[in-house]
Amino acid sequence: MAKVSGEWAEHHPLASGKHKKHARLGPKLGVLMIIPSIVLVVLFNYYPAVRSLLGSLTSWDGFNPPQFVGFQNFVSYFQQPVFWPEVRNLVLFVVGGTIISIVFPFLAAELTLALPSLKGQNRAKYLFVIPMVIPQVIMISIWAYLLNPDDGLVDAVLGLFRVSPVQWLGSTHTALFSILLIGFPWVSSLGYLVFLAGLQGISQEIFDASSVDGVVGLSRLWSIDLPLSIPQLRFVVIIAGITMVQNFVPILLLTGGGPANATIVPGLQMYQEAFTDSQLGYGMAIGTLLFVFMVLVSVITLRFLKPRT
Amino acid sequence: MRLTKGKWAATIVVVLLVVLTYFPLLFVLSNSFKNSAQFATNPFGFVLSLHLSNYLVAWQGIDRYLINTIVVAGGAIILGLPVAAASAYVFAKVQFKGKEALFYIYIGLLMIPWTLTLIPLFVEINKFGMYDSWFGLILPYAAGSQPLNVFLFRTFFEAIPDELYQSARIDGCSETQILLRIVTPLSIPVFVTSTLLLCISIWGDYLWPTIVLSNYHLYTVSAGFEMFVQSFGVSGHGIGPEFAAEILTMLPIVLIVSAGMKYFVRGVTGGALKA
Repeated sequence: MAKVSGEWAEHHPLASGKHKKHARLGPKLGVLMIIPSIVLVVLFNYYPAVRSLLGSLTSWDGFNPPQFVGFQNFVSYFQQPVFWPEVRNLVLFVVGGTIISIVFPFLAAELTLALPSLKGQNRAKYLFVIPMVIPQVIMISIWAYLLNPDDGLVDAVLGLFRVSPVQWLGSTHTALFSILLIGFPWVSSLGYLVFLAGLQGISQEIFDASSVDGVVGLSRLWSIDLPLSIPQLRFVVIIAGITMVQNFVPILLLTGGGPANATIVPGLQMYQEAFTDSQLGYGMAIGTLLFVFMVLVSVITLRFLKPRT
Repeated sequence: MRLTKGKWAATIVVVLLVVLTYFPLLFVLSNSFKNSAQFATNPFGFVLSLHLSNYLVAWQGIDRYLINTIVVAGGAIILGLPVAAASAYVFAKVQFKGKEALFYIYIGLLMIPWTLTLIPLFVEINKFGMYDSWFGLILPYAAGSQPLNVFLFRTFFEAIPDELYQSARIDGCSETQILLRIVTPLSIPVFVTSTLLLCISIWGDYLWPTIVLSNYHLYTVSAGFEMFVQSFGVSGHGIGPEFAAEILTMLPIVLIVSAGMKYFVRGVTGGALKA
């Protein structure tokens, strides 16, 4: 995979390309400098993570001492009626969300680089990057308004084509799709910048050689750009997968998991168990399962999406 | 430059994508200037008359949350960045046993999902007596920013050449002086990048403030915006102020990132390279 130096080294005013370790800090000062960061990380990241794995084996309301129950939480989770709807929705969200965050940003990155002038390319890049930083609740709020079945813009536009109003978030058939629709045309995401950087890193000689061989346009995209972007692709797939598994805020704010469990996902149930029903042990068990699921997604991605050598 | 058919097609599609991306935002901007009568007669069209009253109502509703966000982000930056930079400096420039292993433990943190830590972290914040205080936000934010920032700073420090150290020593600088007077000023670009990334994530975080704060007067802007919108339905000003609040919530962070665009891009792509 890509090495760690590169990016900053190029921009460094005094870059020489050498990487010797050269500070002669005493061991005492060295330890002093490294400790605060480790304390923060252990206290607020590692300890809670371990606590969650252990806590998943307990029944705990947050006030009384936790009771060890073995794998009871996991058994209850698998046996509850909402288990299968959650699995279905999780898979649809993760697969749909990941495809969206690969296809559109990749095509936009290709198109950006296909623009005739460098100035145009930079402008397009700027315009696609800005919406990335808009807070998620704002995007949710805007799309809730656009999708509103009474006076929303989407139904008004469809009405011009004589399509009768759709109950976007209110119907079991369209609710999940409507949540994925937020952010359409899905270009402004991390993947865009990652793919753009990757494509810019492909040497011009490869493109020149391919055009001599008559490999241009879509066939170049398929046979050269895409294979050479596999490192970026792996990164974006894993990040998008992890993000989608955890991304229940739109569901919490827009549908609360409904209608009729059409959008319920494990993350949302975890949140509700812990913070509405005070079932902390049960919540941590769901969190643990999500963690295992994310590790599986990452391992499978790394296993099957390998750069060609 | 000769424009081929492909170049023209690319230009058209990019323009179309830009229009589709920005249309909802322009729609909100236009609606934020409408009064109730204009909503009734012209819900979708763009208007020319600019009614600022929506902004007045929105500002009075969310000004507190914007200020809170600046305080919380400032706290997380002051606490989190120097700590990350100091640790990264040791990783970059000091040799010690087990260094790489320790570094990978750091980077491995990026793989711990927040859904795993959410519940115990809430319990821990309660135990520390930080429930309903900004410390319950600042400390976890500062801690959560460590892995990526340690990584970004280390990469930068490693690129500082030895010659600089040698000439500084010849000039009689101590190691601490080198660190404070030479390395620190040089690394301002990385500080800018890390500051931007942290501001964006704090600006956009809705969930954690709603979990760890019960007094909504302390909310940061995403949670505060939602509070404003939900409380607003009953207050009789129509929907206009909601659009104005959307603009006011996103405008500061959009302006900050526009100003520091190259640092933001560098942070995102620099962070992605490690994959």
